[in-house]
Amino acid sequence: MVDKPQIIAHVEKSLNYTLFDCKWIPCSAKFVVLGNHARGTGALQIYEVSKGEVKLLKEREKPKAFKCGTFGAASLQQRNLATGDFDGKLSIWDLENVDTPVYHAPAHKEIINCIDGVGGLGIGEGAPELVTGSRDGSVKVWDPRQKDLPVATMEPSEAEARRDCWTVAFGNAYSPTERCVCAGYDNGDIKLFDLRNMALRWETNVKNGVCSVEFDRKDIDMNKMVATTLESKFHVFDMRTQHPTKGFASLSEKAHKSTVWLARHLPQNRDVFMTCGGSGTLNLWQYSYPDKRVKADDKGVDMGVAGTVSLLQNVTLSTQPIAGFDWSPDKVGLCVCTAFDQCLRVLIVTKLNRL
Amino acid sequence: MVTNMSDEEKSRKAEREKDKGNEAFKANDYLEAEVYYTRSISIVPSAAAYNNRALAKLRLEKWQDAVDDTNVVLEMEPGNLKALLRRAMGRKGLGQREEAIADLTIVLEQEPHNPKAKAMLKEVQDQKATEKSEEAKKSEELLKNIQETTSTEGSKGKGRRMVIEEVDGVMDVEGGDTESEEEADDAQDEGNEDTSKPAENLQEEKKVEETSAEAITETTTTAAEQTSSKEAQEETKNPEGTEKPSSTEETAVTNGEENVAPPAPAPSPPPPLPDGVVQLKDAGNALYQQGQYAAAMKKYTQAITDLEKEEADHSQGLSTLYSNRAASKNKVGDVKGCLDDCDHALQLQPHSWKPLLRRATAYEHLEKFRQAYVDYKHVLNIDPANIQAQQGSHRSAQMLKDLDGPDWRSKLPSIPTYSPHSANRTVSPATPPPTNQKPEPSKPVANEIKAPEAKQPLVNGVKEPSAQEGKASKSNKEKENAEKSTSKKAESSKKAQETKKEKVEEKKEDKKKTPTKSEKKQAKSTSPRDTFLHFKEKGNTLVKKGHFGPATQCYNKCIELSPDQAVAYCNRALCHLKMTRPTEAEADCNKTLELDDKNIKAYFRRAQARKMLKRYSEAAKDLTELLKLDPKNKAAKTELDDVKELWRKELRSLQDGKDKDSGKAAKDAGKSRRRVVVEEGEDSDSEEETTAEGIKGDPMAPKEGPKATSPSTKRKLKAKVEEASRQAKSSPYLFMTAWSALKNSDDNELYLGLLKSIAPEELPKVVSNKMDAEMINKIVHVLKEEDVVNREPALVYQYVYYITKVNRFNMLKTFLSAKDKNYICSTLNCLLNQPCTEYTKDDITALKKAFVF
Repeated sequence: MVDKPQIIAHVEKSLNYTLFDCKWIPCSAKFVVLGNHARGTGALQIYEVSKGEVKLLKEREKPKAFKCGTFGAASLQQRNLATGDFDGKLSIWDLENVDTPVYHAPAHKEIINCIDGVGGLGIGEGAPELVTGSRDGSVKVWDPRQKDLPVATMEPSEAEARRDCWTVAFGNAYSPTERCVCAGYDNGDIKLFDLRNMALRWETNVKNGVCSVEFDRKDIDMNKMVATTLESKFHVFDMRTQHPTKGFASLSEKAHKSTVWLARHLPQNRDVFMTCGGSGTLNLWQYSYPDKRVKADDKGVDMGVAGTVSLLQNVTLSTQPIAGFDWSPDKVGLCVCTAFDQCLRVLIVTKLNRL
Repeated sequence: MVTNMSDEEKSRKAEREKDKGNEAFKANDYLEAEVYYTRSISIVPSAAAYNNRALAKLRLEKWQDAVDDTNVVLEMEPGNLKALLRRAMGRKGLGQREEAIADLTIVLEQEPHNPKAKAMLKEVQDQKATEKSEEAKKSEELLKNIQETTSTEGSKGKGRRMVIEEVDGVMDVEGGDTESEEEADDAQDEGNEDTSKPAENLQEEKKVEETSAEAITETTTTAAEQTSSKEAQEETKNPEGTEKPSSTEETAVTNGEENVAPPAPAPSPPPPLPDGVVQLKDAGNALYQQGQYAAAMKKYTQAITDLEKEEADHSQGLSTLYSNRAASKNKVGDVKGCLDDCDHALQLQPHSWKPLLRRATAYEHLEKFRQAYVDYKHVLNIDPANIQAQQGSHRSAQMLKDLDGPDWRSKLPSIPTYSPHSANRTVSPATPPPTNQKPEPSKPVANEIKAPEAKQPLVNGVKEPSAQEGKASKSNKEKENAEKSTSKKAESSKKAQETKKEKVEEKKEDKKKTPTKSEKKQAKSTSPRDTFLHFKEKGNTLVKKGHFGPATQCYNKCIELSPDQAVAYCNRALCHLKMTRPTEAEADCNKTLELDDKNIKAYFRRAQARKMLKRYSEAAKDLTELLKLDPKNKAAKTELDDVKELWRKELRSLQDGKDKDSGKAAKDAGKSRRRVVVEEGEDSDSEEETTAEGIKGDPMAPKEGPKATSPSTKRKLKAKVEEASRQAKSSPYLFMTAWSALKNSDDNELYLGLLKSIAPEELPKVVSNKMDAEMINKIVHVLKEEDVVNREPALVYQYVYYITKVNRFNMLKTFLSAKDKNYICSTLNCLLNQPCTEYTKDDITALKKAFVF
């Protein structure tokens, strides 16, 4: 009991706008909070953790509300923040000078729900790239060095219904040529796009809208992936072995008794991840591999074997959904989260190195 | 990418790669971990990464690499205890006990209570002690071992090798726990060690005894290829017994099977050999086994002279004796004598593989690679699974390529060598060559032969024949002849076996006729029912491989055995179909249906046959019959459509002229053949799977794909609609996708089909809130255009009525333009003109109102 990791709310701060996303600035004790002012404008704030409290360093109001942001494609020196807004615009900001974006593109026709980056921060081989998913049903891959035009677009054909894309994630970027994007949609579809072959590598349907997908690591040969869904369930896929017909082995687990908004893997241990619930709860999970990760089916074709997850800790922080969560890439166990109760919280998870 | 990074970035990146390695290591994915550690090292070489990589390599049993890595660590950080401990582990793995102990002593000096180091030290010392005590015992044994025949040596060597691997496995587990980065539970750890120790110690001993042997066993797999024939020759020239174990081992490798074979005691061959001769032979075999080849040779010679005096025809026994003597001579280094004996043996018993193989080895020793190659190939013709021959032929081919360049084949003396044998065979057809060896099968032989067969069916069955085919195509007709003759011989051997006494199982050739041969044998030993099943299975496998001809023969046998089994006929029909012999296929189907008038497959196949014969009406009849039995059969439906279309086309072309028709029919026949795939694949019946896979191999199939013309694309669309309509009931989503998929086609028929797939009352449920004005328009339009209004007014009424019941209809109708509404009203007016009792005038008016207001 005592050896279990504890989740401690270190700082709690109430704000006057709706918070959608928060991200640690790499190699610093600062983080960025993105959101939506009541009048529909975008909020971008930079905070620093110091002496047991958070200090607002910088604040900007932008014409359009921000939905999501990432540092994933930024170099360590520049640490530029890429954001997606309610207008479908993709922008990249130099945090030293937030007045004008260093890059912007009218990426989508509707709100950008999600964004992810790879190739920056020393994470992932190959070119820095961003991926955005939007309500217009398309998923677009961007290279910040290329203006206005996406390097790849994945969208349904004319005849097919356009589903709202709620989440995207990069993965498999273990070599300069390999790269995958995984996208989750409101109808429960999960699609895995292979960017090297520009092909749909795998798809499945988990019956409920997919709120969040994340690979345990972006920069390794796909290992596993977590997908969280509307109806209080999440799925963990073993992405190492793809069976020609059965796809990837998976397990599903009930959590939070409400929508599971997010899953975020601990940067220092890929087998530990946090899920954020619609009832303001945080659950910390650990994944255990099975004895044999690969077995042969009755025809001798290799198929993956899913492991198990165990709940390490469960806390309730709020009455409203926790929609933003980010682990500090530098300090093990330090994390920040935002909830729809307009509060941001800096948390500390202890004993993670004992796992 | 690494080059233009700042130092900080580099170290960060290196750290990250190392962390990834650690994670992979924790997930027991050592190979991956090694990759990431290596990457980390390539960015910034750090002691930690090296140290961890060493651990990963220990787990992978790459002892030497691990030791190398730890050496690097110790260069960087001389006192690193972990590295020392790991190096000790690696050295232990390498069998370098002394060095391991030295490392462990240093560790214990630093940390006197380090439990892992203590445990390991004790272990290593124990091993050393036991090793010494057993050394004396073993040395004696070893001497004996060396004297023993290579056969036992060879087989034992193999067994030992496995043992050694096991040892490594044990050490690995244990080592892992001891060394584990994550501070594994010590108590458990030691428990592990204790349990594993006794076994390990023992085996470690053996391992050391045989360090030289081990080195060889490690290379066993490649040894055959690696040992140049020159070396081998030298070794075999060495007198037996005196040389070190390694050389015996090596000869065992090169000569493997043949060494094993001769010493085996012989069960009496068909014409019983005189007792004296048998005794002599057994004595010879025994001597051979002990490695006293010269003595064995003498015994054999005596046996031969004795046997030659006998009146009766002992060609078989003589051949065996010659063959055995050849083996002995080979051992003694008398290659010429070996060749002579092999020739003798082959004269008496052509096409027996053992003398051939021996002669091949002898030729190889003499560097007559051409002859050697030919003989190896000959052996392969007899037994494509023979690994030794495979390796041998490969080896000599390599040498010949080096010697003669790319067109070395043209210089092969294959023609003269082969022809005498085929000629000989016709002279003595009753003697099956492999049976020649029968008298002396021994367990090791059986094992050695079977193992490779089991392990590499692919290589034997598929690769080899194809390689031979390739050669045959190189205008090497003789080879073809030889192949033919082998099969001829196979047949003859079959006959022989029928008459002769039951013999031990021989290796089966993966050649066309051979399966029947081995089957024949089984036929005798098992009940007719089993035999039947056996043949059926054989046939099925053959079909799977695409050998329809031989498969037909299998089924013939089945039918012979029990003429009242429908299955055999049915399957034979399939073979006939595949070989485009529709008439035979039809006959078989008829027979099947006589026996079993509910056989769906037979109907289907007969339909196909008839289609090939262009008797479309009959084909259609069969298919309709089939659909009566199994209304859900998708393949049959599509086939029926196809046949009908062809029929129509035929009728039309009959009017136009017949020229075009033939070409088209032929093409369609091909197409139909492809179509089967779909159907057959769906059934789970093993027999059916057979077909499916069989067709996969059909090179014709894929070619037909792209040729599909526009009607077929339409058909595809139609099929899609059909599928959608079948599933639409269960899923509104599917209905909607199907509906929107049709957007680009103006084919009202398809829309109607889709619409009709759902009952009117289901409409609100299926469409739910996805209905829009456009869709309403389309539905009404389709209903009117397709003349449903006149034909089924009630249905139209129903549909329109239920459109009004769709969710949010009131909202929807506001999107309808006046024109649309008028159109709907006019459609409804049409309904009024129809005589129908399902609705009244008032209903229609109410409906109209619903739309207009």
